[in-house]
Amino acid sequence: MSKNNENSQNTSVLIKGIEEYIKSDEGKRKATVYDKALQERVASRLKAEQMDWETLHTRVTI
Amino acid sequence: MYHVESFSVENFCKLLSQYCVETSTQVIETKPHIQYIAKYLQTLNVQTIVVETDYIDHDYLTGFAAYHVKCFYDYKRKCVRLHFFKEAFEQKDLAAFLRGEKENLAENLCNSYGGFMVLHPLPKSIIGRTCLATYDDDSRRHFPTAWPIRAFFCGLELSVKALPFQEQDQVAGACATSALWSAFHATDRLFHHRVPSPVEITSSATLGMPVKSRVFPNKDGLTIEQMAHAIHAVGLEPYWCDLKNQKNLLEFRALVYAYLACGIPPILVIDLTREKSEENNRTSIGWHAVTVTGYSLLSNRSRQHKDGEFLYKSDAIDQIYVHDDQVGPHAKMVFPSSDLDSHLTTSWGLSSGYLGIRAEIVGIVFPLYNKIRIPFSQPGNDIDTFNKALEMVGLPWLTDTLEWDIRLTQVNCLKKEILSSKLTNPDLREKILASPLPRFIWHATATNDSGLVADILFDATDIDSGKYILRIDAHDPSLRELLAYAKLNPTTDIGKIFSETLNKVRTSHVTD
Repeated sequence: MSKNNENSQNTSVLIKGIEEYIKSDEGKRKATVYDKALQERVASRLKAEQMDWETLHTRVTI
Repeated sequence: MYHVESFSVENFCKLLSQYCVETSTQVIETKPHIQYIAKYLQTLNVQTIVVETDYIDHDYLTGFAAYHVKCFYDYKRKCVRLHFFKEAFEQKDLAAFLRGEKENLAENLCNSYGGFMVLHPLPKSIIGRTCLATYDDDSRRHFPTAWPIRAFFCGLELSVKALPFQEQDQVAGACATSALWSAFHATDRLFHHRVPSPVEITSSATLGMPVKSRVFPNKDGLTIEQMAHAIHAVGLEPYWCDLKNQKNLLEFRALVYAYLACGIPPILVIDLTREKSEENNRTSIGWHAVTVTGYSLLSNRSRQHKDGEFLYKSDAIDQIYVHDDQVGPHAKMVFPSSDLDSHLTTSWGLSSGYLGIRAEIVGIVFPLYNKIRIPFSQPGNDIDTFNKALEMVGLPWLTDTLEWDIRLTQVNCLKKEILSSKLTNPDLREKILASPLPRFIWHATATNDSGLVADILFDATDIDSGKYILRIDAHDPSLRELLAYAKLNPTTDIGKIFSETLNKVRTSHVTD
């Protein structure tokens, strides 16, 4: 087997393994966990960009 | 004229009493700034102080012309400047050098320069433009806002890497004005605008705005809206992030690091709180503004992350350094040891007998150049999305210790960094160095225990709905294979998982 064929076979093993992992229970669990974490982070960034009238008009005095 | 004195805390206070005739010795000796600066000079290992009398200070003179000159009392127009040196020498040595009899002193003076401090001839508020060397910029402490500031003394060109600091005088402005003034010195270096004096900052902040009480003397400070107005007045865009309701300080750390790494100083608005003796809760002392000048990174942190966690380099920040006009230059603010606490400790009020003062984060104002249009939240969200995709495909050797470093950079800084780096792929190196790139770029670097994993470049000048990812360069072979497959097979499960990221990539710059 030539080296190129060997690499090609390794690549397909990697991709095949990933496709199986995505469908597995552990893959689905990870997807749920990270989806929740992502939503939380996005929501917190969205909150940070919102303008609050009272905050913007409080005096910075000290 | 000049006067040379060896440095000690006592001599420092003695000189201040001698030259600040409007302020009593008792006030000088108990003033928290003086105590802080004296200790800071000890840390810098300062050996000698040289006093330069009759010094003309532009910022003081502008405030003097606008206010003090119209007082009945005859306030002085000229200031005094103290120069600090880490080399020990005496009055006779400097005199001999000035007479041309000791030429080798020039090199020693230049090499040992620790900075200067201007003294205003006013009652109580004596600390004017102060440029002191930072703590050592080592692998732990970083001061991206500091830059070489020249000081001329008796024909000598001295230089110190610093960011100017001065205390509020409650005439030209309060803390917000001082924080803006320091920040403008850093943004001027990056974006080339005129740096207004404190009195001009307060004037522009309040111009055309509804005022509740008098503008000068400015005892009431500024609102955040007025601070934004002052930023706009120098030709920059104010970007406000409200961080009052954050669960922890991770987003705060990420934001501070992302802009500070580029040299843009975040102006931090904090709510200072103290313990209520009679109840088990806290009471607000008031809101305060400080300019962030640097940060410290813990080096011995475990990179192993928990399930559902995104790991950033900025998570390892354990301290920030701020120009706090109530404390002094590069004052430490320390993060709590637990992620559940959302306050920082501060040296504010220590000398006033306040105990247990906390700085609760209200938000950050960033003074930005108008072409920095994509805010941190977008590359932040995109990196988290990409990270989620990597977790979903189950490559633990890649993701278990994966850490992201997201920071704003300028094209010339990025190319300089690549030129001096050990990027092993010569084709990639040549391609990036020779490519035309936008002036402002968000640069995200992923590393794990094995080394460099990927670099992603975002066009910070683009519109937020555009394809603003300039390129994704995967350095890890398995990631390279994976992204190539996802790009060629967008309808497969793998292709769909990465589609959100890959669809934002302009042209075909994915992991060539």
